[in-house]
Amino acid sequence: MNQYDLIVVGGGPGGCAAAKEAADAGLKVALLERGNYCGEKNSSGFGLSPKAYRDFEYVRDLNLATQRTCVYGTFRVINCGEPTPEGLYKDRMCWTLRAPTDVSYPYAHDFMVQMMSRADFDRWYCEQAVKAGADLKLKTLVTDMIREQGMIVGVVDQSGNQYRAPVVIGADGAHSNVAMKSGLRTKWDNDDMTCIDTLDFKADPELLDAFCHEIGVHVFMGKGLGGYVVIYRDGFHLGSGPAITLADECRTGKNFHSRSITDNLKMEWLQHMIKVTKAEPREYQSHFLPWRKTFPENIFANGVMLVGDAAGVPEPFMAEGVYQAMYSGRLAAQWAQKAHRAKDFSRAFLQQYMEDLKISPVGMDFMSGGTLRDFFAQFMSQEFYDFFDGLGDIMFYGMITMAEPHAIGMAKVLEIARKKKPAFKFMGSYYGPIISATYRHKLGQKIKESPYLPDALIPLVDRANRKGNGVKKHM
Amino acid sequence: MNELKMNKRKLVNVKQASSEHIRHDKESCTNCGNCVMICSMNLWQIRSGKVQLAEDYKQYCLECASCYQVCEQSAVNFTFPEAGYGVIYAHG
Repeated sequence: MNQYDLIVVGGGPGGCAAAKEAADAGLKVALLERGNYCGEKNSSGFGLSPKAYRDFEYVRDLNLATQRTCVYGTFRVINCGEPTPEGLYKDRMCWTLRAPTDVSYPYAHDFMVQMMSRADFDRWYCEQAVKAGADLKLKTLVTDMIREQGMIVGVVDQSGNQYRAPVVIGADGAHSNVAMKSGLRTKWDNDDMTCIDTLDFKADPELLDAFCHEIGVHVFMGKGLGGYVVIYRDGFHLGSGPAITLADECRTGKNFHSRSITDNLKMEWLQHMIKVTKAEPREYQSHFLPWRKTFPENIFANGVMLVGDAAGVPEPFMAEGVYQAMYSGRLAAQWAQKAHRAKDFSRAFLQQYMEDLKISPVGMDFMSGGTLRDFFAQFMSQEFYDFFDGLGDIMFYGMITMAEPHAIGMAKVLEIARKKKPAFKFMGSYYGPIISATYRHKLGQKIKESPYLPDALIPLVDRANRKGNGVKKHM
Repeated sequence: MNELKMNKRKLVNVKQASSEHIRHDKESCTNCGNCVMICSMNLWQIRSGKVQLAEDYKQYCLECASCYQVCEQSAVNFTFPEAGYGVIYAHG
């Protein structure tokens, strides 16, 4: 009889965080993974953010084969309007930025993210869960739930084996069998979902280091073009533009996420990087994930909690999801322990997990989620391009022009600013609402007292609050 | 990469299962084409106005499930390949 205290379905970061936490606390845990190893089915590649280093002590010594510290990030604005005779797009501008200095904890200053592949990270994470005592079952696909008297009391795998426990954590990704078989949903709304394709390249590690040095990520945008390149020790990923939902793609009848990879390959700088680092395409990947405007509340049932992508908690801006999976996984495991102590696995009891998650750093991002997502959806717009185009010219003429007398360059700044006023207004129309929506939320005070709010933001938050309804709501 | 072309199919590593993991219900399908549009691997095709799933889909399916998601008629049934089979991302 496979009787456990907790069953965790899915061996990604959410499931491993949950299994490790619960096993460390002494629960008898089963961790079920459908792949031949954890990480086999995960395509996103990712940057582990400083937040994870702040909140999860055990990742701080991480040193995986593909891991590369990203201290600098490069932001490129691409001019798609004037291709070269070979059909390549040139940079309009390129900024390389270091991790910020005004931060509320040291890791946020030390690096932007730690880049690594999921094949590496998930396998490592799974080992931590096993070391803590979790019973790992590989090649185990959960196909149904066991129901008794209205409660979920376990799961069934593809061979009909039963695994029983009074509480199940669904960490089985966007297409979650646990969510569907528990009756929490049959499908997502197309407007809550996105697809990102990635093209993985292998490259010469030494040449890659020489070319990129401490740069770990290139983010780029142009009109109708966008995406990212993230750099690992042995290669890099080219990602498609992350600013389109499946609803957008169905409405326009155009598959942006696949076409985006082909378009992005037309960037001159990328072709240069491919050549210099002797890179070759190695793997094509596709990643289906939630990208929601609102916090998903429907993530618990009698005997069930959902975490990570299964819950729909990737943040609404750039859809970062690994930290969110780890955080929700750990929190769900803590609520599983409390449920055992209270001997109460009901939906009413497990609702507290959802409420806790909603006021956590994971939930905070959703307080201004609508504006954040709308903003990022403008990433490939003409306005976005114009804003940076104007900003670049202002900096160039105002400070460093050698093309004209400096006084004339300085005078040109005002002229450019006037010309680009709509673009600046456009950016401003998002900035205010993002801050004020978060602050005016009924949990505003809690956020202000939260150790997670950088000191630098407090005056802005105060000002937004003083203005009250004076802050224009973005439509 | 100078010619800006890549053959996606050569860049996919799949351990093929014997059983089917996508089922297409032609009766309820309205041939709207959402699945054809959304599939990164072009595994759904329109032939003479009718949507059909490629015969060799199991060899290239990346298991993203977006064909199931975008189907307005629930004519696409997506389950995962048998455990231990399907796509292998060595560099995901």
